[in-house]
Parts: sequence; C-alpha cells; structure tokens
Amino acid sequence: MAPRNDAKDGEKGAEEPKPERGYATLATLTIGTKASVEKDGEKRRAEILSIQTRRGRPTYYVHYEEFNKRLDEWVSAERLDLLQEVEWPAPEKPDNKSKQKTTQSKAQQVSKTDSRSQPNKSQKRPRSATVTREASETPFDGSAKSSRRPSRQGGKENLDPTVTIATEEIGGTPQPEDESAIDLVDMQEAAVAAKAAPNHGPYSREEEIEKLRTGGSMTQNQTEISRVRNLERIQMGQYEIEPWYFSPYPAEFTDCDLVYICESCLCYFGNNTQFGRHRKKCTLFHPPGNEIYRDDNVSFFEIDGRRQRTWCRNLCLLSKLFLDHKTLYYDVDPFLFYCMTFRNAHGHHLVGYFSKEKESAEGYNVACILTLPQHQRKGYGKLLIQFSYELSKIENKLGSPEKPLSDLGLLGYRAYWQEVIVDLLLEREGEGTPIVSAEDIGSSLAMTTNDVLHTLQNLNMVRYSNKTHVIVLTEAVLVQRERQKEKERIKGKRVIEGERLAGWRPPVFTAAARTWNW
Amino acid sequence: MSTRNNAARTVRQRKLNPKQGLRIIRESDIEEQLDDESQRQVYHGETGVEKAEEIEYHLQAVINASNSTTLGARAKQSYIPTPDVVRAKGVKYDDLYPKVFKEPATYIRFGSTVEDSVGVAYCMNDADIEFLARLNDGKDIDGRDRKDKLSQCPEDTFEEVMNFFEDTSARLQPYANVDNAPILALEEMERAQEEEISADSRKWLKPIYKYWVLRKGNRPLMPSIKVRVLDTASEADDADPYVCFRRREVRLTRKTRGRDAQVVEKLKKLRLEAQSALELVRLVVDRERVKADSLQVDRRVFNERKQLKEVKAAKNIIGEKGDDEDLLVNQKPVSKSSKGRGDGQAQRPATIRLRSVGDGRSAAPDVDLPLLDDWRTEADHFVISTIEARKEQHKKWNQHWIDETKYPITPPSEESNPMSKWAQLPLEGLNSYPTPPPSLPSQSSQQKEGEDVEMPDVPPKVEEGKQATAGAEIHEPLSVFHIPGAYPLSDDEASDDDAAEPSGYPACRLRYGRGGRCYLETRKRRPYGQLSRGVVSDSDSDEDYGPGYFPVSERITFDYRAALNNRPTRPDGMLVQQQSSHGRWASGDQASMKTGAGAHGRPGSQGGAA
Repeated sequence: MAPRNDAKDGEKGAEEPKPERGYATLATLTIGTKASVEKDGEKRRAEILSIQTRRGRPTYYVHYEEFNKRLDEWVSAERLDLLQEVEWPAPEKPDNKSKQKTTQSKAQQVSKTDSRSQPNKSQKRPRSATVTREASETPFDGSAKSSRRPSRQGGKENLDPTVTIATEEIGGTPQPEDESAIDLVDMQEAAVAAKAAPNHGPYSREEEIEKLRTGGSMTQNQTEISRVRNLERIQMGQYEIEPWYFSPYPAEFTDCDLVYICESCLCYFGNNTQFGRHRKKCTLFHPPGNEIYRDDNVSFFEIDGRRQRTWCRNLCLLSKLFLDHKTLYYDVDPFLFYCMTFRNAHGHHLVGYFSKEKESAEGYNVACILTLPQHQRKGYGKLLIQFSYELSKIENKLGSPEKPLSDLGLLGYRAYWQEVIVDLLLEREGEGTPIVSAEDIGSSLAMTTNDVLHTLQNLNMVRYSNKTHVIVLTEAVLVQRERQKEKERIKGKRVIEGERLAGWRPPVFTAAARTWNW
Repeated sequence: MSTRNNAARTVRQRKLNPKQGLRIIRESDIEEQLDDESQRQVYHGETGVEKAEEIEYHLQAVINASNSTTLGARAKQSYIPTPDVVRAKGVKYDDLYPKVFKEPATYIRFGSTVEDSVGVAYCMNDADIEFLARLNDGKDIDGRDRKDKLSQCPEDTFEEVMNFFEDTSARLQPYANVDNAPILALEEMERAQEEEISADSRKWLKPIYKYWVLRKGNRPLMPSIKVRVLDTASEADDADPYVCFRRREVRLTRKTRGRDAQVVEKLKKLRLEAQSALELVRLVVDRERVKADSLQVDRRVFNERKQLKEVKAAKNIIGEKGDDEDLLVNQKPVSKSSKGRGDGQAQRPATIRLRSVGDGRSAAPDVDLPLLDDWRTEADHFVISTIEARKEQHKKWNQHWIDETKYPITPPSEESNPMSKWAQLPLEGLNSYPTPPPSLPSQSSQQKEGEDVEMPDVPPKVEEGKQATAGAEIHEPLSVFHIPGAYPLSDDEASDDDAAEPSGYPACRLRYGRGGRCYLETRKRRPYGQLSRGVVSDSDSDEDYGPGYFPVSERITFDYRAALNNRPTRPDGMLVQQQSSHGRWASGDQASMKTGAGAHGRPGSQGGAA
C-alpha cells in the first residue's frame, strides 16, 4: 500500500521542532522520557514506558528505538546512562507529529494526529514514579543503531527464518505504531533506518472494531498493541518461555513470577500447587478436535472455535503472548484452528497452529500463524504454511495470509514461497515445457498471483529480455536451493504429504450458523 | 509493482501480464546482457509488514542480507532475535505428564470440551492444602477440635466443595466484584444449588464453608479472564485491555422496502387464516351447544317416559308388549321433533348444519322439519299471489268502467323494482369480530385501494343510478353524471345513520346536478315486519301514497333531501341555490321510490342482510 521507505535521504535538516532535552536524575525520570540505555554492551536510545520500584530500587520498562517490542524489557537504574542528555516527553499533545524524524521515510506522510499524539496514549500513561506494571501503551520508534544485536534477550536468534513464524495479521492497512515524538539525534541513526511516520491507518478504533466484528483477527490499534508486557515468564511443558507481548490473562498473573500453562488444555495457573492439582485431573492428551492429518512426525487437529470455545480461547491467550497484532477483542467463534502436534508417550504436544476464518471475505487462508517459541527454528513454521496451502488446494482456492505480517511471518512466508516456486520452475524446466505464467504458478501452488509476482520480483527473477518478460532461474536462487537441499539431506526433510489429507473435506457451515452463531 | 522500474532503460517495458506464459531460462541463457545496473535493481514491493515495523533494525538487516544474496553477493546471514526459551529446571515432567498415551491406529475424533475433560475446575493452592491437613487432623478453621465425627476429607472432595461455593456465589452474585455484595450464607447457597453435589461433599460443606468465607474476596479464587457478553455492553470495557472475547452481536438483517412489504403480506395472510380458523371454531362451539341442548331434551323426554312407564306399572295399566321398547326405540322421532323446535329458535346457519348432520343418520326426520326460509317463501308467495289476485279482481271491478275520480286506484303498470335503484349503505358486519378487526384492509378491499367509498362496490349500482335518473326525468330532465366513488362517505356517517334508525337500512344514491354538484340522497326502508303483514291493502300501491320521509340524524353532513311533493327541498347549506331551479324533481322522484320500496321490497334480499 504505502510506499516503502527505502531511500534514506539525508534531509535531516527539515525536521520539526526538537523535543526538549536535558540532563536527568533518577528522580526526575518520568514515563515517556527517552534515555540512553545499555543494551548488549551498547548504548541505545530507549523510551521509558513504565517505572516500578522493586525491592526498594527503581526499575524501568524500556522500549528500544527501532527494535521490535518483543525486546522491550525491565532494566535497573544502572543501565541507564544519565550522563547523556535525555529527551523529555513532549507536552501533552502538541506538535508531535513533527517530531518524528522523517528523515528516512520518504513516502510517509506524517499525520499529526498520529504521531505521538495519540492523545489517549499519553494521557493514559501513568506519570507517577512507582507504577505497578500496568499496561501502558508503548510508543514505538526506531532509530537504527549500530548495535549488532541484543544479547540478553537475543538468546535465540532465528537462524533459519523459514522456521520461525509469527504472523499476525489482520486485514487492514497496517498502521504504524504511534510513535511518540522521536527525535533522532544521531545522524547515523537516521541514516540507518527510516522510521515511518506514523500515518494513522485509515481506521479509527470504531471502524476497526466494526471490521473485526465481521472478520479478521488482528488489530491495527496502537493502544491495543503497545502495552507493557504483563507476564514475566511462563512455564509450558518442559520449557520456560519469556513472553514477547501483552496478553489479557487474568490481571492477577501480573504479580506472578511464573505462570503455568497446561500443555494439553492450555489452562493457566498462577501457582505451582494448583497446576499440579490440575494435572492430576486433566484428561486431555491432545487438542480437543478431530485429527485430520498424521504422518511420522506431526499430526494436525482441526478445531472449531465455536465448539471448543474454552480451548480456543486458551490458545489465543497463549499465542497473544507472541503475536503483537493479534486481537482478542472478539470471540473465537468465526475461526477454525489447525493445530500441529508431535507425539510421544506423554501424548500430543502442541507445536504451533494457524487459525483460519470460516469464511474470509478477503480470501485469506490464514489469520494468525504461530510456532510456539520453544519449537521455533526447527522447520515447523514451513510445515504450517505448507499445510495451509494444502487445505487451500483441496478447497480449490488461492490463499494468502492475512496482512500485515509480522517480521518473522514475512521471512517465513518469503522462504516458503521462494522454495516452492523455485521447485516448480525447476520441475517445469525439467519437463521440457519451460513456459509458465504467473497465474499458472499461483494455481499450482494455491497462491495468489500477487504473492507469486511479489516473490519472483523480490528475487529478481522476472527480467525483460528481447522485448518480453522471462523468468530467470538465477544463480543465487539455485545456489540457495542447493544449499537447502544439502541441509535437508543431512537433517531430514519434513514436508506435508498432501495425499494423507485426501480424506479431508472443508467444513461446511450453514447460512444460519454463519449468521447467528458467530 | 508488476514491472521493475528501469529508469536507465530507454526501451519502455511492457507491463507484465500474469496470464501470459513466461519462458523459464537460466541466467546464462540471457542473450543480451543488459546493463547490469537496471537488472540488478532491488525490487521494493509491498512486504505486508506494518510500515513502522518494517523499518525495524533486525528485520532490515535480514532483508538487506537476502537482497544482496539475490544480487549475487555473499552476505552475512542475519537473524531476528527473540526472547529466551529455556528448559525449565526442576520440572518433574514425567509426573506431570505421565507416559500413558497410546496412539490409536486411526485418526482421533474427539468432541469433548475442556470443561468435560479437566474435572473440577477448582484447584487447591498451598493454603488450601494446609487447611485441609488441619481439618483432617480434627481441627476446624479456628483451631478448635471438630465436634463432628467426620472422617478424612479427600482432596477431590475439598475441591468439589470449594468449587461449589465459587460457582454458586458467582452465579448468585455476578457483580460481587463491583458492588461488594455480602458473602452468601451457607443455607442460601445450598438452596440455590443447581447441580447435585455428591453426598460425600455435602457432609463437608459446613466445615469448609467457614474457611471459604475467610478466603473469599471480591474476585474469584481461581483467576479468570474477563469476558463480556456483548461488545456493546459498556463503553468502559472498551478501554480495558483485560476484557476479551466479546460476543459479536447478532448480525442485523438488511431492512429494505421489499422486505417490509413481504413481511406485511405474510402478517396479513396469517391474520386472515387465524381469523377464519377462529370463525370455524366458533361455529363448532355453536353446533356443540345445540347438540348439548338437544341431548338434554332427549333425556328429559326419556325420563318422562320412564316415569310414565313406572306409573303404568304402578297402576297396573297394561300396555302393549312393544311399549317398553317404544320408550327407547321410538326415541328417535321424538328427539327429532325436539331438534326441529330448537331449529326454529336458533335461526342460524349453525342449526342448519346440525340438521344436515341428522340427515346422515336418517332421512326421515327431514320431512318433519320445515325450513324457516321455506315458510317465508311460502308466505311471500302467498302475499304476492294475493296481491296479484286482488289486482286482477280490481281490474275486473273496474272493467268497462271509467274512473272519474281524482285518484283512481288502478294498480300501476309493473315497473322494475324501484328498490334496485337504491344501493344500500354499507353496513358494518353484524357479527362483530371476536378480535379487533384487522388494522389493514383485507385483500379484497385492498385491491380497490384508493376507493374510500364502499357504495360503488355494489356492482349494479352504476346502472341503477342511471335508471334513477330516468325516473327523475319524468319531472324534469336532468343530466346525471355518475362517477363511482366520487363522493366519499366515511364509515362513521354510515354507522351513525344506522344507529339513528336501527330498524331499517339506509339507502342512498349519488346524483349529479347542474354545474357538477353532487347530491347524496338517502332513504330509509320500512321495517321488515310490514312486508309480511300488510299484504292486500291498497295503501301499498304507489302514487297515491303520501310522501314520507325519514328523519336523518343532523350530524350527517352530506346533502340530504327529504321529499315532499311540490315542495322545495329543505335546503341544506349549499343546496340552496340549486333548489330554485330544480326544486321539484327530487321530491317527486323520491316519493315514488319510497313507496315503491315499501311495496316491492324483496324479502329475500332483506333476509340475507339480516
């Protein structure tokens, strides 16, 4: 939709009024202040989103500019560098829009209302120095820094982008997070990345809610997605996981160091004793639906949100911890949930899932898609994506994931698309019929033509030669594919075997059910 | 987006057509090595990621790396960092998730819900365990020894009891967290219990209740998510990030004029059907009542006969052998006659029906039961024939005689029945509906929508109006234009009329006078009884009969002329000017008609109206 920011023009000069700057002490730090915080050995500008006193010492919840919110964290006072100037929060509403350094973003228009301004956001933000963690919206801004990457949180990098996916989407135009006024001080920063001005999405909150009422699963709304993470850690099965984002689990859990989540029913407990008791009573060994696919590695269960409301709600609460834009504003009834598990003597273990609207007005075949963090980077994401396309093939439809994608979702989908398209092209080439149209590719793979073209062009595979377009299997692409195949030879290849799905028929919902029951 | 922007090229690329087949080639096959620059431009399509996130540092790093890979450069791979996942320490996983799962050979089909599968929702925490230990130690909540001699309380029972308290209080006080409701008494909860709790648990209600009261706060003991029933419930909820999973309110169906009309039609049809069903039921009730009456009469007759028989026996009167049987067997004819009497009284269609039912049983009784209508026609025939006879007689008397009197009593030449010149005012249905009349006109009247006047509904009326005109011309030619429905008459007026003169049915006609003025003339018929009575007398013949007119309520606003021979009509408002020129015709006409009606009114039609 909107142009992407690629050009970094150095037009810093044309900036709007700079935010007020100055030196601060711990006592004068307030929410909204941007200070330099040490992150992985580097200093990075970060906005303070919440302040708490823990064990008598102040701690600060900070959002690093140009880092994803999943890297937001609580830091102690020592990590704040108060020798540098801080940037005070802008006065309540005024000129924010201008603040943004629009240096990089070329096409974005800054709309005043958006930027920083989200009036409620700033107003809602507690100003008191000690705040119990509460959800306050975090503005997001980015300035690119030179820091390579986060260390503490970055324990796990996604080595293989295809593996990890967290896509959330909701249809709609993406709307940038509202940024509070960000002043890019550094020229370098400005050069590195462009921050899109928060142009408010076309949606007002009311419009968005109305839209969600009839379909979709994600929110564009900043107040929804910019919240302080509310759970400290969760324990699920054998893993302890750091949540990435806010999720509306019971508010009491905010005070729990560890929230226990049952692997089978996904029920949540703030207390180990209770969890132990629950496990003695819980009789679920697998997601409560029908198994529609099984191979040597994984199984898929199809679950109707309307029939399994509690379980699906639990699943959504859990996945909200890792999907920024997912909204839980409305109930789960209009969605089907396809849950991927692996099996052992303990039962089925949830690996990931994707949800799908029973009837998508936009033709999406995936609403939210997530590989649980403890199973990321193992190739499961690709399986989920492939499965979603297998379903679309049986339905005779072209599918596409709901937009916007998350960063991980984008990488996951791009990798999948690249692989299947290149394989298809190689196959056609091998068959000696090296002519194919974008629509052919799409219908063979149940992909929309748009996604096909996007992929081909992104890989620079569409060229213009002899006054006609051709598809070029470039060296780079072939090399990548070879490397991948090599890896598969070593690690074993996991794919969804479409023929095992032959018995599956798309669920049919009566008009009455569609009209009245969701 | 479909074509890369090759600024450097001089040749304009055609737009890429997705339907067009494209040749698949290898990079080495490209014949003309176009300027590298243009071919190597990085494509910037839409990623589908939110703009603000698209520029995030780590994502950009990955994208840039892959872009340069695409262009053939070797780039260091980048990764998007995510928060930690670690193996939990100290988790006795095998205890929590015992290895008891057996993979079924076939695909799993499963429909139970979480609620079905997790047993009692309440789970004990540490404080509960501590209390339970004390309780099983024989102490109650205050630390005193328990008086009751209960054995050990198992954990499951404890949880069931706690769950019962939690559920019940949540059900009875759904807003406890808002309005600080007092904690429910134990008895109250026991009374309100919905699901049976086990007998085991029941024993423990009391001791555990005290403990539950201590722990009970405003919120449920088991943390729960906030759910609202409707997304419209309250504005405040909207801002609360913890409120989730709102219900979507029911989809509104589109409202269109077409739908409205459909619905109206449907309702109308339903209304009509319901009404006719009601009518049927009413008739059935009538019939059954009559039946009951007749049965009672039968019974009385039977009893009388029985008495008679007893008396006979007592008095030793010997009857014929068949006598006793007669009492019973001959009952039928007797009952028939009694029924016949009932018939005469009821005078209703329902009665007739009853009779026809009787027909089915035996044909004989019919002979005994004259129909009222037959009586009437007979009477009418008698009347008419008498009149004819008298007329003939009269003519005979006068034969060869010349009548020199001023008003000879020669019967008038037979004319068409003057009654027909008059249309009856619409009458309200004599049977009022058991339910209020439909607010919408029934279908038949709806078809003539737009006609407010019912008068024109009588089909022959138009022509008869002309006849009336012809009659009027006797005295004075007058052009008459009749426009059906041109003269609206509201129901109110009609019924007023009715009320004023309940014995007769008002008749009226529309007349157009000079200059397009129109008049509505009304006339009252004589009471019905006269028909059968005054049969012969000359007073019934026309012409010589004195003009008569019938009072009409003053409230009637239409033009009204009472006819008096040779006398100008009483003016009513705008009529005045008219009179001067056409004073006479109306009255004369009127008079003749009136009398004619009296003489020749058809009993049949009137009877039908009754």
